[in-house]
Amino acid sequence: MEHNPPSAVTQGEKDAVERAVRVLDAGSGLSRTHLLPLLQAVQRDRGWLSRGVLAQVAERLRLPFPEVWGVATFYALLRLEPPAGVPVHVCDDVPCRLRGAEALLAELEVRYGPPRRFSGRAHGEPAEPGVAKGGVDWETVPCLGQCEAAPVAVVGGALCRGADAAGIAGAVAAAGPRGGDAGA
Amino acid sequence: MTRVPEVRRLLARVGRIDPGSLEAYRDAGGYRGLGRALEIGPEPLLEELTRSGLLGRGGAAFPSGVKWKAVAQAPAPRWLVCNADESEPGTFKDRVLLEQDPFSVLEGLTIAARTVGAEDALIYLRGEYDGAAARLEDAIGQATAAGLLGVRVRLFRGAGAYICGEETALFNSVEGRRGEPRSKPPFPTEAGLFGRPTLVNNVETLANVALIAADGAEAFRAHGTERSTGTKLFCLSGHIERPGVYEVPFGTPLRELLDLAGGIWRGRRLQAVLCGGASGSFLGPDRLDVPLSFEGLRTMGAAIGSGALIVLDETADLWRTVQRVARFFREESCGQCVPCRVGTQRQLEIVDRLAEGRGRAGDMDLLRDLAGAMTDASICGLGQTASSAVISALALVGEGTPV
Repeated sequence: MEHNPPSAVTQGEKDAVERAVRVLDAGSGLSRTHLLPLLQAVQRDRGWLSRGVLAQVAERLRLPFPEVWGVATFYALLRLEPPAGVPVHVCDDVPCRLRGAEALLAELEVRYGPPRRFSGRAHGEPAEPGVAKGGVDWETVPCLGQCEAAPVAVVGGALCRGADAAGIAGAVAAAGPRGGDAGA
Repeated sequence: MTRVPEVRRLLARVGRIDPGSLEAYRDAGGYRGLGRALEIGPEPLLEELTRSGLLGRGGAAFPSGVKWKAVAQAPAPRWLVCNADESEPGTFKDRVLLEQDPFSVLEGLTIAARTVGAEDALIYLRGEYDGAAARLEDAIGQATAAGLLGVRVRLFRGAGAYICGEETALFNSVEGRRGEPRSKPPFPTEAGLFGRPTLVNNVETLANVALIAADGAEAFRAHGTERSTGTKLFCLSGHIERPGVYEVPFGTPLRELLDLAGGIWRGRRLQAVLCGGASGSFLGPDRLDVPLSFEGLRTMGAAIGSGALIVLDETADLWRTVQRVARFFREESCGQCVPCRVGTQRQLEIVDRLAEGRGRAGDMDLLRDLAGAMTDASICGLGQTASSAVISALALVGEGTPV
């Protein structure tokens, strides 16, 4: 079962969690309120959250693994599988749709294949595997709160306002092969 | 020529001073509010806030004075939470305030903390708002160094969940739990963050606090209507000539606000405005003269909500917009309570089949039944408002043929 802890945690995973603990600077006061910040810090560092990382975080916070699993699967910006390319989030919400997002989405689909379904990671639903065509792992997301500059996207963690396919391709190239953080 | 109704109080400094400079903020009149708050003391300030008639700007429009008083009277230690988890589709005013005038929000936060006696404050910032986060971190550092913060402030980043803007879901998120809302009562003023009495105020609300403290309740009431005092930030997006954040006194007719933003784009005609974002309702062209006040919109079953105004011109596909809104709620429902978890799914299914011309007899009634169940029986505002846009769209497109 997915919510059971993995059988082993690698040294790399342990080190990553320790680095994140140091970034938080919580000292001996590490407690459950640091769970989300800890997960975010590891993701900034490694790009995603492996099951070993979740197990190590559970160990550090003295929480049962399923509790950490439950939180990690709740938030759309937390990645539980490695990005298959540069992570790209494209807003397909109402204000962006009214200003060209639908045409943009169609163009991106030609370049990069179909997007990952956003709701796949929201609130614990099973994720769908990403398809990395053109080195991009992209998905549509709800309103990013940048509506005056619609349509908008986030490419490897960098905001693209007034986005078009060429601009996104340029930002993908700038983000490099592994890409930046997915935005969390 | 239409009279230009814009009044820049909250936006007085936005785009005009360096938002990264505490000195520039003070030179432009910043921190006068905190100075006066310290001079007159907590109780008179609370009186002033109550007299100002300030209603919360996060969407629920609860009287701030009542909330502050409840927390001030509750036992210490108390928490102050600034809700900056702005995620309502079409809403970006809090982001603009935090990016362009962060010290005004911090000043309001310090005044609030001192007035209700909170030693700890937390700003819950939307995970996607990297620009605002950098700005806030720097501003918190500068205000601390200048001895102006007066409260421990923790900046907490969300991680992509609309529901966490609901205050009790926000508490759970900070406490390292899934961001699912709690049942109320107990209300946050009694048992909020970490079980302590907690004052939760929206970003724009706190920016207003700084104004009220600086210039007093009477100056604040000089703008707006008797029951909706002051000015309001509106976020104009979609088919409008100049999208952006605009500040007008409450009571300004919708028509004037649209004119202020350059009118409908490309010289087209208005089809509808989605007022209040995904959880809001559609207003047709016959509503252009509605005064934008809490009471003015309530008379037609609508609400100002977050201040989002998404404009659809005559060529827009209204029902496609409704579909996107229905999908939004289906995806953002946290799944904890049945009316919302099942209701948002069923609502989307019906809206989809109507959009695809597969509508069945009784679908309209079914949508209304669902809406009733979700509104009455959902735990929190998400489920309670998840049908608002859909039902208001039915009224616009007329019975029987939504597409």
